[in-house]
Amino acid sequence: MSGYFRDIYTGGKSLLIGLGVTFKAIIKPVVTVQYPREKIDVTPNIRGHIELVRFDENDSRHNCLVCGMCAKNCPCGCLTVEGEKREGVKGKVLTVFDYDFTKCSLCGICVESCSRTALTFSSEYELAGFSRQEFHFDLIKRLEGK
Amino acid sequence: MSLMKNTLDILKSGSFDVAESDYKKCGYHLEVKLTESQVRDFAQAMLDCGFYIDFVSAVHVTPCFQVVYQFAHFDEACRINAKAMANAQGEIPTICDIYHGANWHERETHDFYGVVFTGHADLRTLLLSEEDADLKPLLKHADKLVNVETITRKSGGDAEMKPVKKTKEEQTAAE
Amino acid sequence: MSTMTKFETTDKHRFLLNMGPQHPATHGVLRVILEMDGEYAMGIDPVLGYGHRMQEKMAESRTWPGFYPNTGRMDYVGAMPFNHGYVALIERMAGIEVPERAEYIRVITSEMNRIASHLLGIGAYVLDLGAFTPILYAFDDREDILDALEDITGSRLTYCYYRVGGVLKDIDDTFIKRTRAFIENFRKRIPMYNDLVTGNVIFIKRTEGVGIITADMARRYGATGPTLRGSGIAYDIRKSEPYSVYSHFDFDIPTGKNGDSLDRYYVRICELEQSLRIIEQALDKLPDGPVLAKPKRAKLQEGDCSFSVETARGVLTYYLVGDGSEVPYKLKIRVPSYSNLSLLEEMCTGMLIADLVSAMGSLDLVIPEIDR
Ligand code: SF4
Ligand code: SF4
Repeated sequence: MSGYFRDIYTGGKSLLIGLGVTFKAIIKPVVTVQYPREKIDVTPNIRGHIELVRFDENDSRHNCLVCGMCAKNCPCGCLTVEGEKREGVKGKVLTVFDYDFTKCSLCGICVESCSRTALTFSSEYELAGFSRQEFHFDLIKRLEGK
Repeated sequence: MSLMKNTLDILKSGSFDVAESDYKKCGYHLEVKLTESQVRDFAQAMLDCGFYIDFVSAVHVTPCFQVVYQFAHFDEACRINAKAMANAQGEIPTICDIYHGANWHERETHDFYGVVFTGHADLRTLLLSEEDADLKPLLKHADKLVNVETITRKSGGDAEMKPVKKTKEEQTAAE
Repeated sequence: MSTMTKFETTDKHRFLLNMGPQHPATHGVLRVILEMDGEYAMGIDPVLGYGHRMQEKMAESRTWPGFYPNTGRMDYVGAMPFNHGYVALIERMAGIEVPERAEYIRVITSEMNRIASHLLGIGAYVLDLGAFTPILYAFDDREDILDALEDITGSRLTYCYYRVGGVLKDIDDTFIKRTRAFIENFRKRIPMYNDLVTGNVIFIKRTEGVGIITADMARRYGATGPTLRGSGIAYDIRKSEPYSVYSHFDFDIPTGKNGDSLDRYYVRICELEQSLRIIEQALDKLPDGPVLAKPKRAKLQEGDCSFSVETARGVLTYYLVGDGSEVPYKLKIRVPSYSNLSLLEEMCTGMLIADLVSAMGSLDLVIPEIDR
């Protein structure tokens, strides 16, 4: 019989302690953020999709010399880089830089392998679309569009 | 270190082909080479010494599969790697009644390579689905398949990795 | 995955019950076929493979740097140690020296990831048992860790941060400050978890004496991690085969006594504090210097090599066989939950189904890790 009452006592006590924790949380500030209406500051270091880097601030050309290392090293095979020889220009000129974001694993090997730091991660994290094709990016266009 | 010495002695007295290996380079302390018929005795000896089973797997080579067993100990740092060649039909005795944990590892190895563990009561597919039971995904293509010698560590040889020659593109990139 | 069960019941009092693959208590796509006698599970047959991706084949079909992203996608809850094991394996095979600062950063991030993983594990376990609130507190704390890690690694879950020869990016003062603040804050929160969960009578009644694992069982099945330490064996790769710079730190290995679900749960709670201690010491001792030794592209030498690390769930072993090319000839990934789950049958046969859920939850399974 005494065990019965002891159970009630310990049970009641643990219940009260637990409720105490919950009560303290009630009077604390809310930690959840109502996402689409409110937003938190996301760190600029976030790895979004890949994009080409601008030459410098007021020059919207890119830095890529079409060596193809990024495409070669990408484990997911989601980069297509093509260039052509043009008269009067040293080296190759970038004509195609296609990027299939649906396959990308955001590992960063392409960014690392680019000796010209022509690639970087964007800090865009809100991407949504209705079809897969929307995530096949043409990075040259994207760079020009900025 | 006493445990390692003990185990070494026990294994030697059980006439297993055992050698100490360089932990810094290969990640295990003792290396054991087994014949197909020794596998069960070896597993029993491991259990008697108090080792736990880390994994069982296989490597597809010529002439046949090399089955790899790894054991380690809870009390001291002592990791044992054992290798046994399966017979020409790809069969090797099971150890899943000695080490029950080997059951799933052996089923997995059977899934991936088709190694038959004789005496295993339940070689249903585990990770692959039933339709893929004959797929054996980890079997090597004939042009990739190498001899067991090729994947054996050269004793006393240079452990240095040979750097790969830079390709042309890389050289341009580096400039 | 085998659709055929091994049970052939003729007894008309027995019936088969499918638990999963979408059962909330199986934490992912695990299916367990139970042969029930009333409310008692008399036969247990886990069915795996719903999330199977053949990671080992992927490793064999690309050069070794290409496998980096895959390592983070096996155990997505505690991805850092999986990264760590792989880069350390290649480093061991190639004899690459890692700058000390990089090793410290690896330890710090791995331990933070371990805390995050344990918090999720604890929260989800208590959720299995019917208490909804604790997981919300756990997620609140976990959020701090993820934010801090996001700042330096760029991702929140499937990290790909370690590189052969170091880490990708150096940590900065903001991160250090943030981590210190987190440690201070989290120390105060641990007693709260004890109040809320550990001391709760219902929780204790559901877990005490349920799903006992003995040392002998653990040995035969190769159970490791908190699952093993709950049974009173102080085995931790960080101590027994110290890798990275773990030998520089002073920490304990918490163990349980009875090997029941309660002990396994409590070991995780105690490990939170130990991880905090490691992070603190690492932050204090953090040396200056480079974080990435310029990795040389290299062929894998001929021969085999294995590397074990302690993940949040137990021992992870990578076993690599090289044939002298840049592509691994074979990579075996021994994942901890795989062995931990395999003892379910022996542990739970003859149990009430409600206890089975409790015992299975206490193993802290991550199914994509098991399926690979
Ligand atoms: S981040 Fe990785 S997967 Fe994505 S494009 Fe770059 S190399 Fe390829
Ligand atoms: S590695 Fe850099 S320079 Fe070379 S193709 Fe890619 S983006 Fe261009």
